[in-house]
Amino acid sequence: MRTMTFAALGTTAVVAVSEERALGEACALLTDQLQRLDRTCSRFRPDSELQQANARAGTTVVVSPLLAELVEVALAAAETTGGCVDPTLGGPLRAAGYDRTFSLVRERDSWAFAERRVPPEQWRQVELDAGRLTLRVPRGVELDLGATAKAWASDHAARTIAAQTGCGVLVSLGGDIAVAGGSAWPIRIAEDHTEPPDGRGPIVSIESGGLATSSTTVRRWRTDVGEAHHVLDPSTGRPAESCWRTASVAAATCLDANVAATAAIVLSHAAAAWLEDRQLPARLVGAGGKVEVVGGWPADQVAA
Amino acid sequence: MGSRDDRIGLRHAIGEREAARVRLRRATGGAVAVAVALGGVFAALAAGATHPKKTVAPSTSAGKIPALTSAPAAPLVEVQSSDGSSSSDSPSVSSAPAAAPTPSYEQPVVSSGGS
Repeated sequence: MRTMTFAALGTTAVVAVSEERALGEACALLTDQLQRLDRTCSRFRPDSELQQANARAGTTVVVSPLLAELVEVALAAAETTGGCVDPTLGGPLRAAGYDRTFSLVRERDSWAFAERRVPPEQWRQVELDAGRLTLRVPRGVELDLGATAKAWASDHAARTIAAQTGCGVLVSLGGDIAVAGGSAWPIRIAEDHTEPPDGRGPIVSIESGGLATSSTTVRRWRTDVGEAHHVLDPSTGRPAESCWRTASVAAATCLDANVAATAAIVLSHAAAAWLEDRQLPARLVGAGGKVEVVGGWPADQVAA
Repeated sequence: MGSRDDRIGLRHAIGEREAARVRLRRATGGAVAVAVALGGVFAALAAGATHPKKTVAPSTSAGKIPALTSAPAAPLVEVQSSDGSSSSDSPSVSSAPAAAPTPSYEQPVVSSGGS
């Protein structure tokens, strides 16, 4: 088993393969796909296709198949979660202070927090014709695909690399993990994806699908009304005030897992039942550190 | 110089020419009035078509829609899954995994956490 780690998309990319011979090809495939993803849907590149569509909000524009699929995925996530994972929160996120790459946001001493509410189910106003490859972002709205694009890319990259190399693959983009090719992969569950694999936290293994973690403890920044984080509650336009600080979910795909993990933070007290209803194994960490597992997720191992 | 009859004939011809010119002017004025009226009708129809309460189907003529890219970006490599279905099928979310995670005591390769 061989692993390569590198910086990408403002976070950490990890690719692991079950056979050493495949590592070079796997890295090349992942790098290429991440570069395409960045050019297509970065919120911090004015030349990205997404930002150009945002700049022309109110106008119908022709988009690439990749952006059409990413928007389609994001809208499906909104539909499935009852709007808890909403791709139209780019404006409120910017107003809250997340208006540039996070390394720059974190360096800032403070930010004049501005609350910006969005109309209920604003995401339904996004007009996407995936067949004709046309998109119309509603006037005054800024799309942000951050909640779904990385996880989708993990899935796509893992499947692509497994198909091209014929070996077992794990791809992690900022802790959003997809596996393909049939191997079992042990994964450390942590608050922060940058914690070393031999650090603290339980270890679980998955052989297929994906595992993702959302947390309010990592991507935080200072504002004039206190610390803010990047998981916004669409009903308020403010950082979600959740009883859970961290949610890890396993699902059929990394995308499914990440969408459910983010929804769990927003749903707060309703999250456990929501996850159980969907038979999604999850590990929820309360604000005070108490752990609750649902949907068949194994209880944390007790240290010997 | 012509005879008196010639002069009378000439005046008569001039009179007829002036009468014809008046008729032509009236006909032209009428045509202009009709054109102005039709213009008003069409303007009213156009205003109705863009009334904010009216639902308008979005244009689907790609030729009139600005493109963000000079040519659509190539899709990522298309992959066939083991059951033959395309990886770019309609997206689904919140689906249960084939199996729940199991406890492991092996050395993990990566951490899953917030980012």
